[in-house]
Parts: sequence; structure tokens; C-alpha cells
Amino acid sequence: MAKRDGGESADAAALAGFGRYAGPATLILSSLADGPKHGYALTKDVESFAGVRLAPGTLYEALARLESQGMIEALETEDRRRPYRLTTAGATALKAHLAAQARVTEVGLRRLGANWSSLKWGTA
Amino acid sequence: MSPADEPAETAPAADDADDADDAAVGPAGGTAGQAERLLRWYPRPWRDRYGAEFAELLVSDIAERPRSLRRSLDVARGGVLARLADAGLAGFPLPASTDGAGAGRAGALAEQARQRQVSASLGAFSCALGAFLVFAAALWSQMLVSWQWFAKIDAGLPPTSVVGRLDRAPADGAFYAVFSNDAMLALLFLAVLAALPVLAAVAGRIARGGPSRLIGPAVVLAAAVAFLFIGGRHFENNWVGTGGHHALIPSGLAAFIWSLTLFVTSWWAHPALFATLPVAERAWMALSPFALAIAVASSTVLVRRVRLSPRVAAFEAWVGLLGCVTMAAFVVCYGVWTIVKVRLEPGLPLGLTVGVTHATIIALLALALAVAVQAARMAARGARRARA
Repeated sequence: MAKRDGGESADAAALAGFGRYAGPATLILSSLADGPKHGYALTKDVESFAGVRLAPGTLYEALARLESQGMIEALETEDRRRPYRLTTAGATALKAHLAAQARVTEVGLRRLGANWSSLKWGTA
Repeated sequence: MSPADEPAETAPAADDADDADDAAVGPAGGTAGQAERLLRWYPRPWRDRYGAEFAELLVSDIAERPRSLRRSLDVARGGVLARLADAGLAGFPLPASTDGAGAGRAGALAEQARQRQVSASLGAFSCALGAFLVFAAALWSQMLVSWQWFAKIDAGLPPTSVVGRLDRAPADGAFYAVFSNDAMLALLFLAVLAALPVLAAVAGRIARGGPSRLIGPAVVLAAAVAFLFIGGRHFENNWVGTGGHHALIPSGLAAFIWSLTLFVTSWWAHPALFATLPVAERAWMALSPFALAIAVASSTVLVRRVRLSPRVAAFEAWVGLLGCVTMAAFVVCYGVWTIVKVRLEPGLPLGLTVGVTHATIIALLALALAVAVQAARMAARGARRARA
């Protein structure tokens, strides 16, 4: 089993260390949290829940990084397509990362509510 | 499995049902051919690991969107990054294949990947250092042999006195010249210091019946070094430039390196002048760069394949970082010395101008230095993680 290391902040930092790939990595891990998927299924699932279409090169760049970090692991190939699944380390890092994002979201929405209460949703 | 499986199943490469789509994509092989062409952006180890599944994804993507500039650019960018990663110069190691590995081995495979990344980074560093040494040593040895030559024939000075006179010279240029000389000697020392543990590891593994893939590059390296040593010693003693003077640097090091790097010269741009050289020397100038390139390449392959222990790898990375500082010192000092057109002191007719050859070589040195810095940083970071 992939090892757990450090506390929540260390887990969050692990994903933040992906730099510009933190976004795709978060989307991929969130998709795999629902169960193993291969590349094309990942693309379609991410597109359905996030409205973002991951281009093939970007998807596999992030997959390779996540696999090299032990956050996901590949399963047996099925008809030339290889499914990936979340590891414990990946689930821990994703949970910490999303929790950190949720705190930012909560603070941002609260401050918007306090100071920009007249703002109408859906307007530019 | 999600419903998203379905489109992939409608787009197998050899499926007759896709003939219409293939024709729409283009004449050179349809979707499978297009996917195959895009896949060529990636290095072979990456293709061995991800090629089949990535091609399958591309086929599905192409079937959905036959023409997409964004996809082509994205794949090209990913391929370049994968090549940099394969060379140990980008941010993550390539994971090992997990076919049949079973669950729970992700951590162990990640650890193996980190070790491979350190090996690749050290290999890239050795390649950059080798290229740097060839050209920097050429400049350095030409500088020293020129001092010695002019000192002897024009000023009537004993060659052994030149370095001492430089140390006392007040001109700024002399300071930079002496400092670049010291930097090169330090770099040669560091290169030997870094090479010894690798050679010991290679010899030890071969002696213990280790992987046969070490034997080939080791034999090639030994042959290239032998060729360079014999040729270098021969021409060191006969080349008019050195005149057989060996007093300036112990054991004739400058003269030997000068003969090793005779091909670094502007004589190539003057065919009539070049043709006046004896045939053997012209042949040496033509062959020695190939031998040097083979030596550097085989060293790189050995460093990548030998699988150093974490402790030795950390030592190599540390020496590499020191080497980068030394390389930077040489580039700066030699560059300044060249630009100010140093004259050693009155009476010595040496003044260099920054010609195309010098400018090109200094640019190559700067490029090699940039690669070396990135490789050493990656190796040091990987070695730290491997030991943690």
C-alpha cells in the first residue's frame, strides 16, 4: 500500500507541488475517486463534471506525474486501454487539497456576502 | 466502467466501420496513422510505457474531432517535456510498467522511478560536463600553450616563469586569465573525483557478473580513451604549437589537452592553410572529435545504467553542483579575459580578439553550463528524496 506521509498540510503541498499541473491533477484524482477509469473515460468524466476537456498530452503528462508520485496506480491493460485507480496516498493528498480549497472558497464567499451583497450572480 | 467507454469502442484502428472517418482525416493512414505520427513526439521509453493506451486515446479523440490544432500542439508540447524528463532535465521520473504488479506496489514503483530519474539526471550532467570540458579545455590549453610559446620565443623567458609572472601582473586581464586557469584545473579535479566512484561501480558490477548492458559502453569508452590517449601523446610531442614544451603544467597536461582538442580551431575556415598540415594531423583533427563524442556518449550511458547507491548518487550530485560553480567561474573569467583583449605584459605579443570561433565556443559553454545546472539540481533533489 502506498505510504501516508506527514500531516494534512504536507499532503496538500504534495499536490500543489504539481505547479501548473495541479489543476489537471485535481480533476483526475477527483474523477478517479469515483472508481478506476482509462484515459478516454477520464476525459469524458472530467468534461461532464467540470466542463473542462483535458487534451491528450496534458492528460497523460498529469497521469505520469501522479503515477510517479504514487498517487494513482495502473491496472491491467484492457483491450489496449489501461485503467488507473486512486491510491491511499492520492486520496489523502486530494482530500487535503480540496479541504484547503474549500476553506478559501468559504472565506471568499463570506467576504463577498459581507461587502458585495448587491452583486447579482451571473452578471459580468 | 463509465458510459464514456462507448466512444472508444467505436474507434478501433482497424475497424471497417471507421473507413469513412479515415478517409475524412487524410490519405496517410487515417486515425491510426495520425495517432502514430503524434506518438512519435514522445521518447521510446515513454512510448514503451504509455504508447498503446495513449494511441488508443488519440484514436478516440481524433474520431471525435478529426482536425484539431490544439491537440497537435498539446501532444507536441507533452512530447518535448517527456523527452526532457527522459533526459533527466524535467520535473518528474517516468514510472515503471505496472503490468502484473498487483495492488499496493505504487510506492515501491515510485521509488524505483525516483532512482531512475537521479541516474538520468547524473547522465545528463556527465554529458554536459563532457561537452563543456572538451571546448573549455581547448580554450584553456591554447591559452597556456600560447603563453608558453610566446614567452619562450619572443621574450626569452623560461616557460616555468610565466605563471609566476602572471600572478604578479597588475593588469585586470591577467587576474581573469589566472583565475580561469585555476577554474579549469579545479574542474578537471572535480571531473576525476566524480568519475572514480562511477568507474569503480561499473568495474565492480561487471566483475560480479552484473548486467551485460554495462559491458558494451564500457568497452567502447575504453577504446575511445585509448585512441585519444595514444593520439594525444603522439601529436603532443610533434605538433609545432607545443614544440614539446611541457614545463608550464605538470606532466605536459596543457600540451596533451591541446593535442586532444586540435580540432577546435578556425583553420577549418581556411582550406588552403589547412591543406598545408601533414596528412596525419589532418586525419587526427578529423577523427579525434568523433572519439571525444563517443567517449562522452558512452560515459553518459554508463552513468545512466550503473544504478549508483543513494549515497554515491548524492555524492555525485554534490560534486555536480560544485562543478557548476566552477564552470560558471571559468565562463565568466575566460569571457572577460577574451573581451578585454588581455596583453599579458609589455613585451609579450599576445592579444586576443573576440572572433567568431571564440564567441561560438563561449556560447556553447554557456549552453552546456545551463544544461549542467538543471541536471545537477534535478540530481541533487532526486538524491535527497531517495535518501529521505
